[in-house]
Amino acid sequence: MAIGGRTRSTRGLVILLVVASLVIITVDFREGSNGPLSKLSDGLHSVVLPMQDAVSRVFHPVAAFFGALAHLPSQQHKIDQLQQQVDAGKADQVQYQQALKELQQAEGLIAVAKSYDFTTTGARVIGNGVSNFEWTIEIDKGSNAGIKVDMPVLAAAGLVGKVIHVTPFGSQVLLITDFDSYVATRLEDSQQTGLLQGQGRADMIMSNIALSTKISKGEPVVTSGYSGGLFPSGVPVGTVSDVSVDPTTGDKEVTVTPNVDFSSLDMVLVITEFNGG
Amino acid sequence: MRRGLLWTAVVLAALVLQSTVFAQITLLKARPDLMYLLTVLVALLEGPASGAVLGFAGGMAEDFLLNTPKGITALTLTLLGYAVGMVRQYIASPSALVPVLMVGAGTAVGLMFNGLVKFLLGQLDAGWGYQLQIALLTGLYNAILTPLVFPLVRRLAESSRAKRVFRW
Repeated sequence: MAIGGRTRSTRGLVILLVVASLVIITVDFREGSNGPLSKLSDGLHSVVLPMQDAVSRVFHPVAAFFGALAHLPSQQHKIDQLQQQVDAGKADQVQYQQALKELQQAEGLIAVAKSYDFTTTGARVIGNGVSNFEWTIEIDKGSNAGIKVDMPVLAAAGLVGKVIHVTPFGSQVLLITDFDSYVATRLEDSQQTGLLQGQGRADMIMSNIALSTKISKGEPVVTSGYSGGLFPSGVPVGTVSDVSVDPTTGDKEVTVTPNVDFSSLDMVLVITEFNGG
Repeated sequence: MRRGLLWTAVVLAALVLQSTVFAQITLLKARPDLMYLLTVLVALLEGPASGAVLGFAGGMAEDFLLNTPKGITALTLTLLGYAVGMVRQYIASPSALVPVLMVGAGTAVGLMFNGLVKFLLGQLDAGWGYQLQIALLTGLYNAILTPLVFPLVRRLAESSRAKRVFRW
């Protein structure tokens, strides 16, 4: 009798919890990103972020050790150093070429020079997304440092993503590789623009490019700013790794490898102000 | 009361560790998932009711740190905790392999169920092949972690139970 009663109450409890989950799934699905559930989510973020910060400081050597194991027997430190040099070189190269091109476009000269004039805030990366299905990072600067939702985030090698959640002492950044990330971009040589969508673990895809466009592998892709856009113009994003034709639209589809190595991201810049935004 | 606080702390600790230390241990695109691991272990040790409650709480906590529709992980882990707790009652073997296998299978099945719910909501972005790969690998990694985590969770479970009995 007692056991029977317990089984029944357990079943009732589970049904209750399942219904609660379903209600929350439905409510959240309908209300989008501005409802009370998202506010609650921000609250939890501000509790967990300081802990993440502390833990990531303490465990950084441990994680780096496992990271080194995963990357096979090479010295993490040396890789980091070389990677930084390569990243810096890549960014320099793209920025130089971009500047050169824009010099030739006499008309927009001064305006473009101004568009590189960002106000930025440096931030440390203190955590990665908790699931295998979301590509986000946590940074240690939040609304107290003037960070707001939708601000662009950069690394030395190029575009990282945009801020999607802000708490007083930390923020969450959606990486450009996430499926929900769309960035207006431009092919450097042809100056063709297209929307770049993240593909998770795979390279990003830039679609809706006219079939007649000549595109070569290794061609740099940069952000294309437009009035009211989220990202400033001319920030390096990646390089073309493959070109194919989308059979449904008849447009070209370009696969783009990001410049930034997201697995070894330690410091980022948040653009708090840029001209033309 | 004390028991609730203890398990809340455990869930928070798992969440923080998951997003810092374990977030960086990625092999073949997958990484261990502590919340699945914890849910299965608690269900094994404490039965279906506790498994379901911890799964729900842990899943909610994880969902609220993510962007995807909230509640999917909570739903998955509630059912996972309950199912594992029920299955456990029919396993008499005292073998140490039981928790390892349960964690591996539970995690993989749970993640596939999670993918199914996301699919029904039109949120399965990455495709079934990727989902299956992640589910199997995460199950494997969780199973490997079980011998390390199981004694810890068992000690926590025993201490929480002992205190309650003493107070009564």
